[in-house]
Amino acid sequence: MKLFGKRITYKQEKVIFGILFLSPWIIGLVFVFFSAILDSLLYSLSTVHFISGNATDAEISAFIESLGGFAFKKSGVILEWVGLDNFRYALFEHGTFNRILVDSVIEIGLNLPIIIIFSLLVAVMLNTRFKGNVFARAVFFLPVIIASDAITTALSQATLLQDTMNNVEESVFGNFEFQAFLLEAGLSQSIVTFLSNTVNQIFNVISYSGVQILIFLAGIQSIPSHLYEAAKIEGANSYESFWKITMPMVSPHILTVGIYTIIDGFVRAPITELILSLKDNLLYGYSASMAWIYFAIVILIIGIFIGLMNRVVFYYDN
Amino acid sequence: MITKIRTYLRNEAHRFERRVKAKGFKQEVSYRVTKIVVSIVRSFIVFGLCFVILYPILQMIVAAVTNPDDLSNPLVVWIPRQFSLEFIQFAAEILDYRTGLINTAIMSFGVMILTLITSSLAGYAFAKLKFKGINILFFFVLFTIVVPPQTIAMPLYMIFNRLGLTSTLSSVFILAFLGMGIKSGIFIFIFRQVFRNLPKELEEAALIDGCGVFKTYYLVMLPNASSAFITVGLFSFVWQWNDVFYTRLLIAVENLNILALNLTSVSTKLVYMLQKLGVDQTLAEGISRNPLLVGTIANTGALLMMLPLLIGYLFVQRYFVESVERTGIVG
Repeated sequence: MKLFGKRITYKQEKVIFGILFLSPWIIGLVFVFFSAILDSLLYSLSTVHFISGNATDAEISAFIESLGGFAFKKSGVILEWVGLDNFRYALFEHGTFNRILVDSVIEIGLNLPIIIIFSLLVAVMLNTRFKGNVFARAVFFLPVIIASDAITTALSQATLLQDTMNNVEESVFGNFEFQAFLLEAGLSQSIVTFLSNTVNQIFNVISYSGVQILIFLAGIQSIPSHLYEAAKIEGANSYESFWKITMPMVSPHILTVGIYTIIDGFVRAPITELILSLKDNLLYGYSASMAWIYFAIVILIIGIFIGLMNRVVFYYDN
Repeated sequence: MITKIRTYLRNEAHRFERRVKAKGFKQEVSYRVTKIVVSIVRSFIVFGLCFVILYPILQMIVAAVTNPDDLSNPLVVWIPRQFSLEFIQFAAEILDYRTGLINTAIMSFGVMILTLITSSLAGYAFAKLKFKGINILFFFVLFTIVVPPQTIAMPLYMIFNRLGLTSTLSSVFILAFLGMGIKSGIFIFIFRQVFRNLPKELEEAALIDGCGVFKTYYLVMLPNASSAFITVGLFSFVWQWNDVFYTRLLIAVENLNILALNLTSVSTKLVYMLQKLGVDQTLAEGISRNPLLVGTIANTGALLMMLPLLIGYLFVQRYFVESVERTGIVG
């Protein structure tokens, strides 16, 4: 290929096209992602004052003077430096932030193992051949299509309708009786509550684990079949070969699935509502600092998860 | 029919006898019993879960086509005495369904195309066109995946606000084209995995036959990665369709009808519509507090919003499942 009249090698051509191919993404990274994350960091460390559309430069600089301290104009807003005050406010002064944050973290912590185990089991079951497995697959990935916050919000308004249609007294009573039975059987109250909560949110668990099932299913199908044949010849039954072959071979995907599950929960987390409502009230500083605290905790959780998993994960290549 | 059953049973009996001779009676029986028990348990679980998934959808459909009088009638279960399309019409009116549908479809389709272009190009570069420092760039792809969107939400809004692009579709399109849209990082990751798994020989053969880099990508690699294109295309379309977060952030509700946004504000829309019909404001607000009415409208609206996706899913369901398995995303 020729460039500016000079011949270039294939290797150089590859580099040029590599940069060219990446250019939209790099532009996005620098001008959208980095600039947004830098702004967000600055917002979290300052009080944000908005400039009305018709303010002159002189007025703006006078306003900055009047603030005293360290203030500057950045991308359409005036930032008054307050250091870590916003973080202090979020953690120690705000009424509900701590509780909602803990709720969000607990939700991740509870949902993570449930979703991983559930999706692995479903993937194993869907992988076997049985009558109607095409139908079952189609149904299991339906929630991927229809899982939407908008629909969840809409349906949360429709609970009375569902109750009316379900003749609610009976179903609640049935569930209640079963709980009483478990309590009688000697299980502790907290375990029973946990179990009944899990069972009650089975629909949510299914609808949040569509992609995870797909990942596991793909992982299971990429296991070479000669491993199973060898195990069968050695006399292993399918239960044994699940624990000795499927589990280790699938374990790297547990990492992928776990991280995906955490990421997927971001927008659904209860903290999102709080952060966006503060933004709507133009309290950008508080909102940004809360978002950063949430980010730090999420990174921590992902780190812990990877750390724990790295002890268990088995890599076939090594 | 009877002769068929008879021959089937006879064949089974023969097979059983042969197996018993080979393995011994006890083993054969226990093998068969285990097999039957496993299949019963499995189908119990699988179809039970299918029921859990399908039940709310069926209920939504029934509630949407039921005559309002039948809804609170305890004698009516599942099959209404009288079908009516009243709620569907009403919900369609409130959601502003026709324009909403068109806008949402344009938005999702545009985002899908732009995402496919950017993320496939970037994924290809990360997989095959390596240069110095590209690993650092790939680290940033992973970084964009783990940063929660709320962390960059406000500055993102400010950036587009300064450009005057909020409350237009172009803001969403620009984000998608710059590879910063909904879960774009994951899409780039998928493409990288898929292109990396394509053999080097393909590229070498293309080079010998006189293809440059772009031609190799366009003529050789693209057709081989079709399953990845299907996966990423489907997911970006569906996620954009269902998204509330970015749409609420970047597109104001008043200016542009997006189904997902309209659906989240059903009761406000109901008040607005009743007022437009000349109902007194207090009365309108009172009506909009009737949970059964609002619930049924929200329910029907949700059905209307997911209906195009459901219909589409009927057709592409096969590709959806197969392509993810074939992409080798995990391999």
